[in-house]
Amino acid sequence: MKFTYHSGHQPLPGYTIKRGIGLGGFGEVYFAVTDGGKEVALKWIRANQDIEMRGVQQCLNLKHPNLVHLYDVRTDDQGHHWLVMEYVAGEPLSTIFSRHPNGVASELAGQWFHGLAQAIHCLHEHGIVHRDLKPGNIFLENGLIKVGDYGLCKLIADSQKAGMTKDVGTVHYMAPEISTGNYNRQIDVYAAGILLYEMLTGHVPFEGESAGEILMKHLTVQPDLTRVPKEFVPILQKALVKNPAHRYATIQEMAKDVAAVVNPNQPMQPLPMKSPASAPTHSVADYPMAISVTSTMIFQQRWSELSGILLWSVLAAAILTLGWALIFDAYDKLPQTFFLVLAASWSVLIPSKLWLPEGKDLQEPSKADHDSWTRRLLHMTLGFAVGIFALYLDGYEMPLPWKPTADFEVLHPWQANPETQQVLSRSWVGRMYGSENTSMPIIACYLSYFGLMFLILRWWKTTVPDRSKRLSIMAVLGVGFWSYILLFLLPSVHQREVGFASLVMASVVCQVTCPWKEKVPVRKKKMRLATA
Amino acid sequence: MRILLALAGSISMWFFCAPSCAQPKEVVFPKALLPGTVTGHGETVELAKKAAKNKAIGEITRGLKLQAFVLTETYLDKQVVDEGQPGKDVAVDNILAPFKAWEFTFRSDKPWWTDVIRRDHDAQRKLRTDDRLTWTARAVLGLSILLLAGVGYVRLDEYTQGRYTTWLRLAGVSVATTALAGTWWYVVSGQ
Repeated sequence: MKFTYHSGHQPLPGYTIKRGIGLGGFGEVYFAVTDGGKEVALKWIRANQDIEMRGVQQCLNLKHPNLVHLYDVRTDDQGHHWLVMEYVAGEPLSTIFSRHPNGVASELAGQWFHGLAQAIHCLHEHGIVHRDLKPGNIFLENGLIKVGDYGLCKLIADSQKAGMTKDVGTVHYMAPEISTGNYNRQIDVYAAGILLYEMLTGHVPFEGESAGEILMKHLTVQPDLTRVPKEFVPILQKALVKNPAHRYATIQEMAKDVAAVVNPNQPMQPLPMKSPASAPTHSVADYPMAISVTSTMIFQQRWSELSGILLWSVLAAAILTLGWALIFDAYDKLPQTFFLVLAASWSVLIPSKLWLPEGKDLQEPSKADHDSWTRRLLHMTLGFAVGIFALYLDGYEMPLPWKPTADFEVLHPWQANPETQQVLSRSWVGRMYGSENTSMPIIACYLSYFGLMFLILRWWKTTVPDRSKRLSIMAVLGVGFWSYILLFLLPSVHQREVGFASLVMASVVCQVTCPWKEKVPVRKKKMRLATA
Repeated sequence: MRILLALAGSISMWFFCAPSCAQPKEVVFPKALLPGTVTGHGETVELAKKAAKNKAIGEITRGLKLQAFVLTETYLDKQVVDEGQPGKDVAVDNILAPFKAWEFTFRSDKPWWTDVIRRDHDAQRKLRTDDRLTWTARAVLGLSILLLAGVGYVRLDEYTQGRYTTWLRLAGVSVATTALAGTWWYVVSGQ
C-alpha cells in the first residue's frame, strides 16, 4: 500500500504535504505545513466517511492538553474529506512498549496513566466514548501523554443500546460487552485497565493466535495478575472485571486509585472491593449474546485457518514429493510417499492447531507450545496411526481381533531376498546400514519407527506462529537426523527411503503452510504520528 | 490423561506385536501340500517335459495357495525341480506309439517354497497397494474438495463482509453435496 500524495502536493489550498506518516483502515495521514509555516497532520478520510465524520464532528472543539487537537474538517476539489489536526512529534506508546518488553517502572506508568485518564475523562465529560484506546493511538511528546485517533469516536446513546456499525476497537483492548453491542464509557475504563497492565508488564493480559480466541479470553478468562506489582492488583481486578456494572464507574475513580498507589503520601481512597463470598462470579451465562457471537467467530476462524492450512498442505506435499521423485528418480514411490507426507503433516497440523493448554497457561500464549508428556504421548499415538497407514499403503493386511492372527504377514519379520540385497548395495540408504531388518515383526518395525519419530521430536514447534523463522532448516535437519538414526527399524530399503523422505518432507510442509508472525524489530527512528 | 495414553500405547503395541511368530522355523519340505514328484506325458520327450512342468506349476499353485504370483518355467528350472528323469512310457492303444513320460522331483535341499510364498505375498501386496492408492487418492480428492468448499465459503464471506452469507452457504453446501454424491456414485458404480 502506498501513499497517494507525495511531498509538494497540495490537496487542500494552503497546505503543502511534506511526507506520509501513517496508513490506516480509515485513510492516510500526512505531515504537512500551512502557508504560514504551521506544522499539521492531514488525515485523508477515504473509507467509512460517515462513521469517521460522525466522531470527528463531536471532537472538533475539544481542548485538552492530553488530546491530539483537531483543527478543522475540509473538503478538497474532488470531494475528499480531510481532517486537519495537531502534528505530534512524539512516539506512540506501542513503539515505547516494544523497547520495554518487561514494562516500565510503576512511577512512570502512574504518570502516563494520569495523562491518559485525563484525556479519557475529557472525552467522557463531553459524552464521547473513544472506543479504540490502544498504544498505537497514544503518544508521548515531551513527557506529555496525548490521545489521538478519533476516527472511531461515537456519542454515547441515551439508551446505551447503540448498534455496532463497524468493528469497534482493537481486539486486545476490547471489553467483553462490546460483543453484545450493549456498551458505554465502561469500555474505555476496561481498555485503560489493559493499557495499565501493559505499561506495568510489557504484555497485554490476553493474547492468542486469532481475534476469536482473544475475544473468548476477554469473556471467560481471568487475567493473570501475578506479574503485576501487588499494589496494582486490586485496581486491575476492578478495572478488568467482566461485568461492566462492577467496574470503575468513571475513569477518574480509577485514576485516583492509581495515583494513591504511585504516590502513597496522598490519602488513598479505600477501594470498594466486595468480599469473595459476596462478590458475584460472572459466568459465561451472564453474556449469552456475547458468547453465541464469539463462539461462532471462533469456530469460523479456527475452521477457516485449519482448513486453509490443510488445503495448502495438499499442494505443498504434492510439489515437494514431485520434486523429490524428479531428483531421486523415484516415480514408482511417488503416490505412496505423497500420501504418507500428507498423513504425517496432518497428524502434526491438526492437533497443533486444536491443542489448548489448560488452566493458567491459557493466559500465556508463549506457553501454548509448551512441552509435556501428554502432548508427546498424543503425538506418539498419532505416529502409530501414521505407521499403520504406511502399512496400509504398503499393501499389508491388517491384523484385526476377529481374524486369526498367525496368517498375517505383518506379524512376521521381513524376509530378505537376493534381489533386494542387490538393490541395497546400490541405494544410499543401503550403504548406511548395509542390511535389512529381518528380526522384528513388520508391524513392530513400522509402529516403533513412526511412533518414536513422533515421540522424540517436538513437531508442534514447527507450527507455532512465533517460531524464529518461517522455514527452519535446522528443524528439517533435526527430523532428518533422527530419521537417519532410527531407519534401521524399518525392514527394507524401499520402506526406508519412503519413511525417511516422507517425514523430512512433512517437516517442511508443516512449516511452510502454518502461519508465521515475523518478529518486528525495535525501530530506532522516531516514529511520528501514526494511525492504526 | 497421560497415564491413559501411555497405557493405550503399550496395549496397542502388545496387541499388534505380541502374537508374532518371530522365531526362525525349521526348513522342512511341505509334504502335506506338495507331492514329491510330478510326471508328464507327451508324444516326445520334450512335450513330456513341458507337460511335467505345467503339472508342477499347477501343483505348486494349488498346494501353496498362490493368489498373485505366476510361476514361470525358468524359475521352475532354476529353483524348484531337478533335471528330471525319464519315466515309464504309457501305451494308449495299439495303433500309436507309446507316450513318453518325464518325471521331475521337487528339490528339498533349499527352501524354494518359502521364496515362492514370499513372492506371492509381494505380488498380492503390489495389487493391494495399487488398489489402496486409488482409494486413498479418491478420499484425498474428496476431502480436498470439501476443504476447498469450506475455505472458499469463509474467505468469500469475509471478503463480501457477510452480504451474501446465505448464498455462499448454499453454494458451499452444494459443492460439498456434489462432491459427496460424486464420491458415492464412484464407489457404488465400482469404477
